[in-house]
Amino acid sequence: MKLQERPELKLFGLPYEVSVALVYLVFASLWIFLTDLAERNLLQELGWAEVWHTYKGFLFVSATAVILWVALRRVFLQYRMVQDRLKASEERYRMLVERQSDLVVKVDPQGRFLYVSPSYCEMFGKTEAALLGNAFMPLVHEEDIESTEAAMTALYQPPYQAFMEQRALTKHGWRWFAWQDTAILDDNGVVKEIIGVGRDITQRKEAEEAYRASSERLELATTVAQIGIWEYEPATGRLIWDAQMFRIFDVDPAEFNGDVASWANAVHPDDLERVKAAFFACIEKRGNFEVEYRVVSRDGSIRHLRGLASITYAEDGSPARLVGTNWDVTEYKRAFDALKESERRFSVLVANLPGMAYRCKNDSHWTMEFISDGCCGITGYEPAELCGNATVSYRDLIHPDDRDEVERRVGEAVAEHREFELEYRLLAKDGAVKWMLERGAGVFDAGEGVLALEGFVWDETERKRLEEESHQVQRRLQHIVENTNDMVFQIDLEGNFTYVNRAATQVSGYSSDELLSMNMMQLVLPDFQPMIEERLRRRIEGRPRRRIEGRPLDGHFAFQIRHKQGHCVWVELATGPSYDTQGKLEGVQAIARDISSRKHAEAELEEQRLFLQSIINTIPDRVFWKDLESVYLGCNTSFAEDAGLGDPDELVGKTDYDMSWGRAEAALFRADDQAVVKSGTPRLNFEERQTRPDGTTSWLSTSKVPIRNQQGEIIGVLGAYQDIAERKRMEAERVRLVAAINQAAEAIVIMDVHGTLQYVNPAFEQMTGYSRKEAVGQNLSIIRSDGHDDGFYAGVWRTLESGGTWHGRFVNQRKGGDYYTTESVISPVRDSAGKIVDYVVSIRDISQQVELESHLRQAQKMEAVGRLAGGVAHDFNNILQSILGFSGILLAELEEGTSQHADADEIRKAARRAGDLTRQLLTLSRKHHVEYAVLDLNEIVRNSERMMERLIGEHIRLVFNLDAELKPVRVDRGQIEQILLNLFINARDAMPSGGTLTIDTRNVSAAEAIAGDRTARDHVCLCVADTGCGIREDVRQHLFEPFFTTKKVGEGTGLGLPVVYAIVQQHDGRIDVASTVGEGAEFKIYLPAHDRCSLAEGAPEKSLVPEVSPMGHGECVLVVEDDPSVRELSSRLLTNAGYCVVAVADCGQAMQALAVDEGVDLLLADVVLPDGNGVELARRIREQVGPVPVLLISGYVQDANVHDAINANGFRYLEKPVASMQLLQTVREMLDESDRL
Amino acid sequence: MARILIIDDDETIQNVFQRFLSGKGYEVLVASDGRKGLRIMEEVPVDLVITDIMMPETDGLEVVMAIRGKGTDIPVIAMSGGMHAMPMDFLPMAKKFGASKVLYKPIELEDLLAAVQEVM
Repeated sequence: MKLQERPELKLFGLPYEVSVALVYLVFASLWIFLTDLAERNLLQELGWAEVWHTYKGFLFVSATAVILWVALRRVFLQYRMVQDRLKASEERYRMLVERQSDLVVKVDPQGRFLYVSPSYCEMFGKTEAALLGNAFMPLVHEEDIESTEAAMTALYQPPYQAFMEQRALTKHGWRWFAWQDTAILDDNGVVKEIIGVGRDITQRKEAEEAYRASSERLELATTVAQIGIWEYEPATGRLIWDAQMFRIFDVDPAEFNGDVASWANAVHPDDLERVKAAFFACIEKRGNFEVEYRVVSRDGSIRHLRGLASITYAEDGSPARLVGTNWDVTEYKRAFDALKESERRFSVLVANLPGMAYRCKNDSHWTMEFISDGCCGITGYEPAELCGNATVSYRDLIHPDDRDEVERRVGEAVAEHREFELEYRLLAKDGAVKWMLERGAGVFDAGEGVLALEGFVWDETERKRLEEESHQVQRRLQHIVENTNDMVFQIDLEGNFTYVNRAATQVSGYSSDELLSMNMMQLVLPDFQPMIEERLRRRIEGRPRRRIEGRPLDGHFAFQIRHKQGHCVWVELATGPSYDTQGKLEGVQAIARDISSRKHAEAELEEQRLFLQSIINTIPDRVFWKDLESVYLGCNTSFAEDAGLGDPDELVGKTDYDMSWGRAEAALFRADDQAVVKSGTPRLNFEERQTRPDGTTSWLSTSKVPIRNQQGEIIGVLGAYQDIAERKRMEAERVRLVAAINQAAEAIVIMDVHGTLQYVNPAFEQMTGYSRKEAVGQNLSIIRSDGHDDGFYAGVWRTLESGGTWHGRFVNQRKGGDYYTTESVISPVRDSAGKIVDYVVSIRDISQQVELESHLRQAQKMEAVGRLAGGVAHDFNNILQSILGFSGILLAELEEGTSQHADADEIRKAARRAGDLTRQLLTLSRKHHVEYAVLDLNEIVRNSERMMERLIGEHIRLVFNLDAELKPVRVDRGQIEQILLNLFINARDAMPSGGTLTIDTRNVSAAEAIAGDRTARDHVCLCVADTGCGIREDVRQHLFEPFFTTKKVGEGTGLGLPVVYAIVQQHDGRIDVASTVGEGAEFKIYLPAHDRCSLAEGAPEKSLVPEVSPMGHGECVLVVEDDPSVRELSSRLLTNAGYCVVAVADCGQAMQALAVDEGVDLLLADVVLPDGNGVELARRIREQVGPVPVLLISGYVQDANVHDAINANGFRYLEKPVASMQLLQTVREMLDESDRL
Repeated sequence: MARILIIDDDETIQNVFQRFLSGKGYEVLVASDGRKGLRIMEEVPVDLVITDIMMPETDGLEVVMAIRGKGTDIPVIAMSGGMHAMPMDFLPMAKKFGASKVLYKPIELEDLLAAVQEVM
C-alpha cells in the first residue's frame, strides 16, 4: 500500500525555489539590458547620466527586494495551508485508531514498534514508551513464531497483506489474537512500514478446542471399539453416519446420500430383506432393532456386522429418532468357523486313519471307552460293540498265544510311565488272524493313578506278508546271482572289487578272495583300460550317453580281460550305480558276460558283410537301403559318391532331408519308399530327378524293393538306380533331331539298300505329293521322271554301292505329274561293322532357283544381243535406208517385168527383212519405243483374227474362248500384236498337218496361285494352245534363247519367242509354257490387270515400265550461266523438254531466286561465275534446301581442287560444248536417280 | 515448186532422198549438219525441212528449236535410225520441240513421200 502523496509547494507551476531563482534571473538580466540601453540612447541625450549613475544601485536593490517579497510571500502562504491540512488529517486518523477496541500497531520492516494503540498498551500492560522502538516478536508464543514469520514474509509480495492467528503474552497471560497486516510501500515500491490490526480471539479458540477434544474422544472410543453410530429421523428419512460407519461399511462419504438406500446398497443382497424387515419393524412395532447381517465391501469382500438400535419418541408419541450402533463381527465369525472346521477335520482324520484310536480302562478286559471307526475295518466289530464290552472285550480279541505277553508289557510300561509298543495277533470277527502294531501310554490323574490307556492300533498284516515275500525274493535272487554264468560283481569308486559271484571266479580264473583283493583294471587288457576308465567315470558322474548305431546304453560295452591263465576273454559289461543306505554313490554294480564265442561269430559275420559290401560296391548301379522310417542304413560307394559323401558309413543314420537333394526331391524319394513299404511290392524302373551336391541335376532310373526279415516282415527298403542323364540327353537330342527333320524345308528320306523307302519327312510329302503312308514301302523311283535315262540312275547306284556319297541334280516328277528340279545328296548309313544298311537322301527343290537362273541367263543373253544391236543400229539403219532408198529409186526407173526390176525388188525385200530383224533385236534390248494404252485384250485378239486366218491357213481350226468380263490391260498394242503373230507362226509351224489353235483369255485373281509370282496382283491370262507336235524337254529349256531355232536355216530367225519373252517382261508380265510331246503346247501369258485405283493412288508405274523418254515433268531446274546465249539455249532446251526453268546470271541472283522459291529440283550451273564459282554456289544451295542434284558445266577446269570438290560432293560434270541431247539425258538421269533415292 | 531442205550427216542418205524427192518434182537442198542447214535457211527460203536428229555439232533438236524459235511454222520432219541405241528415245521429243512428224529409219520411200505430202 502506498500513502497519499503530500501536496507540493509550487509557484508558476514550478518548484518554488526554481521559480524564485528564475524570477530573479529574468529581472536582473532585463535590468542590465534596459539600463544600458537607456543610458546610451536616452539618458545621455537628456543629460541625466550623472544622476543615473548615482542612484542606479539603490534602485536595483529596491526593486529586487520588492520582487522577492512578493514571491516568497506567496510560497509561504501555500506552505501554511498544506501544513494545516495535514494536521487535520492526522488528528482524524488518530481519533479513529485510539477509539476502537481492536489493537493497532505499526512496525518497521525489522518488527520494531513505530506506533501502538492505547488498546494494545492496555492489553499488554505496558506503556507506549516501553513498547516503541522494541520488537514485537518476543511477545509471540514460541509455537507461533514460525507462522508469524511466514506471514511477515508474505507481506513483501503483492497484495502486500497477510492474515495470521498467534498467541501473545498479555498481562492476562497467553491469549489468541487474529491479525490483519498491511504493508506500506515507499515511492520506490519498497516496504517501509507495516500496519497491523489485531483482535482477541481467545474465547473462540477455547470453545473450538473443547469441541475438538470432545469429538476426538468419541471418535477414539468408537474407533477402538470399531463401533459405528448412526441416527435416523423417520420424519425426514435422513440418515446420519459417523466416520466409523463409513469405515465399517466401506462406503465413500462422497457417495453417501444420507438415506436408507445408501445403507441398503452396502448390505449383502441375501440379507437385505431381513435387515429391512427388522429396521422397519423397530420403527413400527416400537421394539428394539437387533440383527446380524453381511455387508459387501467395494473390493467384493464380505464382512459380518451386528447391529443394535433403539428408538425415541416425540411428545406426540410418534417415532422421533432411531439411534443405533454397528460393529464388525467378521473376525469372531471367522474364528468360530475355523474352530468348527478344525473339529470336523479332526473327526474325519481319526475316522479315516488306517487303524483305530482308542481310550480304554486299565482293567483286565481293557474295557473300551472310545474307539474310532477304524476298528470296524480291522476287527469286524462296530465301535459300539466294543465300547463298554457290549459284545466282546478287546482282551478277547487278542490271540490267546499273545495275550499274556501283551498284558505283561503294558503293565510294565504303565508302571514305568512310558509309552509301550506292541506287536501281536488279533482274532477278527470273521475268524481271520491279523497282525497288529500298537502304540500307547497310560493317562494318569494328579495322584499318579491310572485313569485310562490311550493309543493307536495299526493293521500290520499286509506289511508282515510283504516282508516275508521280500525275504523270499531276496533268497531267490541270491541263488540266481550265485548260479548265473554271467560275472556279477560290485566295485567301489576306486574300482576295487567289493563283491563277486561264483561265475566271476570261473570267467576270470581267480578265486573269490583273490578278486576281492584286486582292482578291476588288473583284469582289463591295457588297450581297453582308457575306455573302461572313461565309461566308468561317466557312470559314476551320472552322465550316461546314447551311442549311435542303436547300440546299448553307455553302461554296456565289450572289452577283453586277461584270464588268470593268460588267455584273453571277451566280456560285455553292463553297469549301474550302487548307492548306500543314505543314497550316496558307493560304487558300481556290474554284470559281465563271456562273449568270446559271440565275438568269434561276429568276426565271421563281419567278414561276410565286408565281402557282400565289396560286391555291392562293385555293382555299377547305385545301391542303398533304408529302414521303415526311410533312414539310411547303408549304401554302396557309388551312391555315397552321388550323395557327396566320402564313405558309405557316413550315410548311416541320415535321411533324404540331410542329403544334397532339395526337400521336394527328398519328400518324393521318401514317398516312393513308403509306397513300397505299404504295398509290399517292388517298384521298378521309374524315372526321377536327383540334385547332386555340386548343384547339377541328373535323371535316374530307380527300382525299389521291400526288405523282409526271416519272418517275412518288411523291415526296410532296398533301392538301386542308374544314372540315365546321358540317355535322357540322347533322347532329347533325338527328339530335337526328329523335330528338325520334320520341320526341315528339305525332304529327308531314309531308304534301304534296295531303294525301298523306310522313312519320309513332311517336306517330302509336300514336295512330291505322296503321303508318308503312300511312300513308305515303295521304291524311291516313284519320284523319278523321264528327265534322265536309265544309265544316269545306274551311275547313281554305282556310286552308292561303292560306298560313296552321291550329290547332284535330279529332274523328278510329282504325283500330279509336274516336273521339278532337285539338288539331292544320298549318303550311306553304315552299321557298327561298317556295312551299309540304309541310305539317307536329302532332297532340296531348286525348281524355282533353276528357273530364276534360267531367267537371269535369258535376260543377260538378251541384254547382250540388244546392246550389240543397239551399237550398230544407227549405222545399220542408215545403210539400210540407203539400200532401201536406192533400190526404190532403181525400181521406179526400171521397167516392170524385166529381170533387173525383179533383182532390184529382191534387194529392197532383203533390206526390209534386215530392217525387221534390227527392230526385233532392238526389242530384245527393251529399247524399242513403246506407247502404253489401257486396252481390252479381247479386242486386240479379235482385230488380229483376220491376220491369223490369213497366216495359218484353212487346215487349222481356230477356237476363241474370250472372257467377256476380262479386265483391261495397259499395253503397247503393236507389241501385243507382235506376240500374237509370233505365237501363231510357231503354232502353225507345229501343226503342218492341221489341228486346233485355241486362244483363251481369262482373269486370274491375285489369290490364284501363279508359280513364282512375286506380287499379289490380279492378272489377265492370254493362253495360246495348239495340238501340234509338242516341245521336247531339251528344247523347252532353250525356248526363249535368241537365235535358238528348230527350224531350217532361212525359215526362222530364232528371235520369235525371245521377242515374245522380252515384250512380256517389258509389260511386267510372265510367260509359262506347258507341253506334252505329240499332244501339243500351251503358252500362257500373264499381264497385270489394269487397276485404275492403283494408278490413282500413284502406283509405281515407272518401275513397271522403264522410263526411256528424256522428257521433263515440270521439275524446276535452276540454270546459272553468265553467258547469255548459252543461258538462253539451255533454258529453251529444258523448257521445251517439259521442265520449269529459272535462269540467272550469277550466284547472287541464284540465292535471290532461292529466297523467292526454294522448290528447286536440280541446279545446272557454270563452274566459273562472275561473283564466285558453281561449286561454292552448289554447297550453299544444298545447305539451304537440302541435297538437290547438281550438274556443273564448264569449258575448262584446270583447278584440281574444283575437280576434287565435284567428286567429293557427288556433283555431275559436263564439259562444254554440251550437246543438247546429252544435257537432256543427263538432267533426266539425275532427276530419276534423285527420285529413286 | 516447193523447196525441201534435207539435213543429215550421212551423205548417202542426202543423195537418196535428194534424188527421190527431186524425181517427185521438189527442189531439194541438202546440208550435212544443223548449223549449215540453219545458215542455208537464212539465205534461201525453204518450204520443208527434213532433219536427222543425231548429228554432230548442232543436232536435230536444236534445229527444230531454232526454227521454232524464229517463230516460223515451216513444217519439219525429224528422223532417226539410232534412237534405239541411245539410252533414251529423243524422236518423240522432237515432236514436243515442234517437229511436224517423226520417222524411224529405215524409211520406205513411199512413207517418206506420204509424210512430205501430209505436212506440206
